[in-house]
Amino acid sequence: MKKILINKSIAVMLILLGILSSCESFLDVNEHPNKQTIPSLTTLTTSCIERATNMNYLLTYYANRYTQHTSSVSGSSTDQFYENRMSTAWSNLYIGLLSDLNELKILATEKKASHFLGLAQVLNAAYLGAASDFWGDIPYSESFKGNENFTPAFDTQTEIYEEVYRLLETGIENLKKTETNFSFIEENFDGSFDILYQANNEAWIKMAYAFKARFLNHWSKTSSFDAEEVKTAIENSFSSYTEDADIFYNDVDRSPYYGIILDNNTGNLSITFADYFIQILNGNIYDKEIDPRLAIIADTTVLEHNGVFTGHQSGSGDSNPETDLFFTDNCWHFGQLAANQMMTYSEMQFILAEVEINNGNKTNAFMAYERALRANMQKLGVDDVDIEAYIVDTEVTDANITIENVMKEKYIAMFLQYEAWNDIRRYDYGVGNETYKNFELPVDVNPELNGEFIRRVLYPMSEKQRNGENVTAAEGGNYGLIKRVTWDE
Amino acid sequence: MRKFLLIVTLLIFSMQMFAQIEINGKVTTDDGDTFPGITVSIEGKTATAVVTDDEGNYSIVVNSESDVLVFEYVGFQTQMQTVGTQTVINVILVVESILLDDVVITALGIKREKKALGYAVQEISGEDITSSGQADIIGAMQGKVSGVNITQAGGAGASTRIVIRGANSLDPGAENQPLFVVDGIPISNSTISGDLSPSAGSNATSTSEQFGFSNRAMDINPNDIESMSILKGAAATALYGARAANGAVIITTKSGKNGKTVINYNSKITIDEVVHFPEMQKTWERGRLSTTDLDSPPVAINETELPPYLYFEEFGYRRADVGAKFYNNMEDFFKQGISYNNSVSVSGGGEKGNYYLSASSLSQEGIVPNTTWGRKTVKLSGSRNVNDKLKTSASVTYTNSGGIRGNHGDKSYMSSMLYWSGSVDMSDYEDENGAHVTHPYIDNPYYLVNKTSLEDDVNRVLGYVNVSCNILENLVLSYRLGTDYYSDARTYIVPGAEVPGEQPLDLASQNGGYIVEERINFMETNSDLMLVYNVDITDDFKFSAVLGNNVLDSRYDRLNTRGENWASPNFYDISNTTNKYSSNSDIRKRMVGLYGNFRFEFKNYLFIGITGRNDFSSTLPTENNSYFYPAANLGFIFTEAFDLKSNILSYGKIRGSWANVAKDAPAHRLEKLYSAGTFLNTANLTLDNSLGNSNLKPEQTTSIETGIDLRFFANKLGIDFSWYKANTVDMLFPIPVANTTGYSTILENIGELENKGIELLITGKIIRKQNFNWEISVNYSENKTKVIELNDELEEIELSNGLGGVHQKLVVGGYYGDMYGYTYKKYLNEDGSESVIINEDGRPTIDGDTALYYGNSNPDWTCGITNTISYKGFTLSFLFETKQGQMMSNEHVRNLIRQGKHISTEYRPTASEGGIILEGVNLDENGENPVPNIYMIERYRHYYKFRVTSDADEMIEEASWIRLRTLSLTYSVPQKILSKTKLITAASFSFVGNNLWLSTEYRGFDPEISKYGAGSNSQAYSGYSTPNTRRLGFSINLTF
Repeated sequence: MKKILINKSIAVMLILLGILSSCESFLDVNEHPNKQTIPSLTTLTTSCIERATNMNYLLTYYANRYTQHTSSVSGSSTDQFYENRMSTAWSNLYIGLLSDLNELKILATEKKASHFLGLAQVLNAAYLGAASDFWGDIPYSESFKGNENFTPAFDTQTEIYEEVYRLLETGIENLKKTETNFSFIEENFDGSFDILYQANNEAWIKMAYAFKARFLNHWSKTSSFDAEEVKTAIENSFSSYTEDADIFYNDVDRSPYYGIILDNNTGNLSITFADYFIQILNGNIYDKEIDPRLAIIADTTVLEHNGVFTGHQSGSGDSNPETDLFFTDNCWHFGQLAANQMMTYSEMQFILAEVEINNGNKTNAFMAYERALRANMQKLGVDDVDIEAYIVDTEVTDANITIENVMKEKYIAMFLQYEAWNDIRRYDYGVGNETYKNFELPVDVNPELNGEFIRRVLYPMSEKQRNGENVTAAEGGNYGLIKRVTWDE
Repeated sequence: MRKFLLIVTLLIFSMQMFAQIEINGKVTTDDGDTFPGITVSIEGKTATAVVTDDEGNYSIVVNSESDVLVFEYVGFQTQMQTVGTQTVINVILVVESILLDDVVITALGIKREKKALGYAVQEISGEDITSSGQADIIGAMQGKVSGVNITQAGGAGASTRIVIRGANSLDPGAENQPLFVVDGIPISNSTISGDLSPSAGSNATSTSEQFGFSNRAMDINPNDIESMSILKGAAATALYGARAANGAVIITTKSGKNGKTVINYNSKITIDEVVHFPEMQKTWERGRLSTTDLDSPPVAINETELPPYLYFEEFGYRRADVGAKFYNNMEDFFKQGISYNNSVSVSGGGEKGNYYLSASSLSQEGIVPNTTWGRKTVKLSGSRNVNDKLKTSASVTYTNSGGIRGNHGDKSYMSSMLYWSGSVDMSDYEDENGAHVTHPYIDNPYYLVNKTSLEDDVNRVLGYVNVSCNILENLVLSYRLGTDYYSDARTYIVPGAEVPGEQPLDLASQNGGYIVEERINFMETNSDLMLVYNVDITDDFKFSAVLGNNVLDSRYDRLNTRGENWASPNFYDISNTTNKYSSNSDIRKRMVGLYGNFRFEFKNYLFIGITGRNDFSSTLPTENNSYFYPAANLGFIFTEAFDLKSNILSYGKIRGSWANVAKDAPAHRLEKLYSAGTFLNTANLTLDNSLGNSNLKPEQTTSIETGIDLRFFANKLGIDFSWYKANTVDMLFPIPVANTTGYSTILENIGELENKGIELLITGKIIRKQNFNWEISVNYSENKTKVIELNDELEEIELSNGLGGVHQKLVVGGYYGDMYGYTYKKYLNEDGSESVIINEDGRPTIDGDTALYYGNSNPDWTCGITNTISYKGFTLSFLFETKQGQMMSNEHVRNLIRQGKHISTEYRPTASEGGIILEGVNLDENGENPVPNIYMIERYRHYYKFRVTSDADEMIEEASWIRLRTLSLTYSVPQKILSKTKLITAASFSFVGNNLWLSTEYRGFDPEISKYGAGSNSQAYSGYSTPNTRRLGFSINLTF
């Protein structure tokens, strides 16, 4: 009797135990069915490059309006120097690009994959620095710590630039390493993950030097500027425009610049060519012949107008479709498959020319200037004959070349590149010097700026609301659209 | 000898007389009424029954003094009287206290007498549902149930949303609707929007804005329902656990009754029409003029000369001056919607068991062309008493539902129609080649509804088996296994340009047209093993217990495939597209629960219930996935306990409860996740913006409820009042964090919400006579959801965003549903008043920095009054319903103002007539020295388009309404006529009208229709979805 009872009890307990333990595994269904928890080097890299190109677009979209390359046709007050926070660019930078780069750097460090680490560091430097050129002091060292730090402090621009140079240098080192795991070219990788340079270490190294040159050059007005460093960097960067950092799209993933055309066509009016840029190209500002690039950059077949072409005047309200040149997909920069240019050989040579003139070396400057000019025109597909005719028409020689000539040609080549805004700020929008002839304030400009040109964009509202103390500390005194960033002071 | 015989005869005679006593009397009601047909019989000898005559008199012969007379009549309490020595027995009948002995279905299908409950439950009968005129069960509850807020999206097959006693989660994406249970099996009531956006070309923030999808409870055939119990507070739902933290709607379906087979047939036809439209101005033509232009002679508008942007704005010349006709495009667009609903059922039963078989078909054409919805159901259920200890039952219901949905939201027929100028005939939508005739930038709504289609096809099976076994006399073991399975196939086609050169649909302009095929599968299985024990410990003291185990398995997956850019024209299959995209979304969840419920009953007037439940959930971290929560309730019938019953107060009960319920986390949120995709034909992987949390805890709601239930005047008047307060803490919320952390949101348990409110239900049988009855039922409720706490880092949580800067957010000290917006910059005068600052162009500027509070989108109070009057065979019932105090952003009127089409833009005096000089002040360059405004508005267009449409004062308005929700007139054919047919046992015909009368200050369409469907927690915006209708219907009900 007792035995049966004991057996029964044991049986019951075993059954209960069985039920309880299977309970654990029964409930183990919480792994996400559609998302991964373990990343991989190649797929993260593709995402980082994709986000970097998108960042390039988002920064350029606004920067080129301040340089009057483009202007809004919907009466947007941004062009009139009213409040601009560029919150989309800010969030794309932090929660998109830098966050994925952080993941890539951690993974690459863990796996000792130096090439991937180097690539990540280069991209990281490029856009961290670019962001600082727009907003000044920005958070970085305290970011990406998850729920350990909800309110990262702001690093100063000087600190950001130090980190940028460090990242570029370390990145170049890493890309050069021959003893590494998961090197770019290995049996498993066919390079297609690298949608920019197809896993070509050399190309990335050159691009890194190019960004270094660009960033060093921003400090041209300050005492820390070192011309030799800039020249060294330029020497190590691209050797022709075929090495430019360009992304090309396809008809599934189309160029974001093409998206502007679609917006314009469906009534969500966006931007088009600004009048200052067109006046440069059609020769009016400098009283020259029409630039052969005009027909390539802008689709001049659409408007007749007796050969007179204009753009939309910056700051003016509604568009005038009778006279304003609009983007079409016949424009070199705006087709579905058009390139998104992140860094060019042409820019390098223009920087070299600028540095050489300021050093008093006009001969070298002129050679660099011609190289830059030809590269840009060839890239755009201008015939050699037209190139030569244009050069003659400019009447610039190695004896009379001035900074104005260099910056004028650079201005044209920097269409759809945010760097143009850095240039124009360095030269104070032409105020008090000979550059940017006839460049004027936009129509109906924000009176609160008292005739000053815009020098930065403001911190986004989301940051002010969620990280308010640090933002207030970073803003400091006299914060506003005309407060210059550190290299602009 | 003769004397002896006489005495004996007399004795015998008198003995016989004594054995056959005739009793006479009169039966009246306590009102003094008399009814014929009241049955008087001798107890135990029903064959002796007689009935009262027209004056209530009766006469019956009894055999002895000890015989007991029984007086019975429907609707009244049966009375018994011993004959005794009386020969005249008059009796007064009292109305039956139906509500006292009423049995309601509570959680887990447990039947309880309503008097024994310590919390509020409200019941709706199946007949109330079918006579409401609504095709779905939630709509049928409108105006009848206290403590619930019901809102609708518009359009055929569009969803209806119900929230009981307020929202209790902070996350705007959280589910706040109650659990739906059918015959003990929880079923899905979700409204799934899916993902129907193309890769480029749509500005919609979410698909829920774009289509009116159905909530899944619409699959239920209302004719199958016997009754619905609405369990409102946590005390009522504690046994269901986490699923029912928002309350529960317990549905019991019909089953066969003992007796002969019953066949029931019901047929209904209804017609819907839009009767409330926004008022448009008819004076002004298309154009973009200013007051100075208006002073010049009008220039005839030639269509070919007009630049594209002038097409749909009406800031032009006077119609009269240029001879332009006015087309009433909006009103002409909506047609009459018609629906047919047929239902038949066969049921029967006996001692061995019963069965129920039904079939129904509903088909509906919407008021928007080319929109439909339909539902077909088949149900078979039955039970069998295997022996006196074992009983089994089972049921299977199959539903097929779906329709063709119209576009709402951005790029919908509504948004195009709000733009469309009254100067152009909208119905002329195709030219002789079939090409799209429209304005540039917008679609012709007729073309849109004819060319695009979103079709959904749902197949659903609900089934269960149930076995219960009386193990011992007081102990019942029962097991129920049920499944809810449905598949929802959606196909959405947006053609590109079909005729060469035509303007394609706006939606197709950036992608070449597209098709989306979505396949949703959902299956949930519940297993419940229960042990029920009842014992009478003493005569006065009873005890019952329920112990149970529940196992839940739920799986959901949605496969989405999209093809973009049509290759060849006019063939709309995914194979004919150039670019294909595909994604899959799965959710898996399992739960194990153990629960117990213990009840103590003392002397039929004191009832105490205690519940405890422990859940194990797969969605919480494994080391911490178990959580326990208790509840207790008490009911005390003080009229019984202290013997206080009187003619005035016939019943009185107080009740109170306390409960704690927990809600587990959504699935798959514990880890750091990466999402894969492709870019330029290369695989990419990106870190999710929202960070999960490996330390998630369940959300906890603690609620207390008290109430009082009183009956007066022999139960003719009933007053039931409840007060409740429920606090929810540790709510899961993806906290928006500074982007510079690398994340946009981080999931945490935070905050506290408090729901407080009252519910009042008054029922009265005002007149109860033989041929004339009048009953009234009033329900009244108030609920407020207060934000007590968020967390240290968060000052506010954004709930929703609308047009023109109007938004909703949750702030500490504010309420759920609070609305905010921006208005003009104002100058603070010395006397404290404010004046609008007007600039030199005659216009004010919007102060975009200061978000002002504009009230709450939830009503302050709601009330429904139902009157039911019956006279002979006719029953007239009407339900007035009101919601008061809610605010809404009137987006459709805003857009009409933006185009110069709304009546409020009509007044446009020219410059020479003095123009419009707005009331306000002009300031000097220091912003001081206000003087009354002297500047005239130069361009009306700029004022209306850019100022008024960003002014929350203009957009947010009170949306309170009173309406005649339902009016129905039913005729039940009397038995006299029916008995002649020898076949039909009941027949009735009824006319039903819904929304026959509406009174509201809200401009434009009926404010009851929300922009978002039932799946959204934001019901603060109107416009962009199909308008509400007035409905007329006729139905026949026959029982054989």
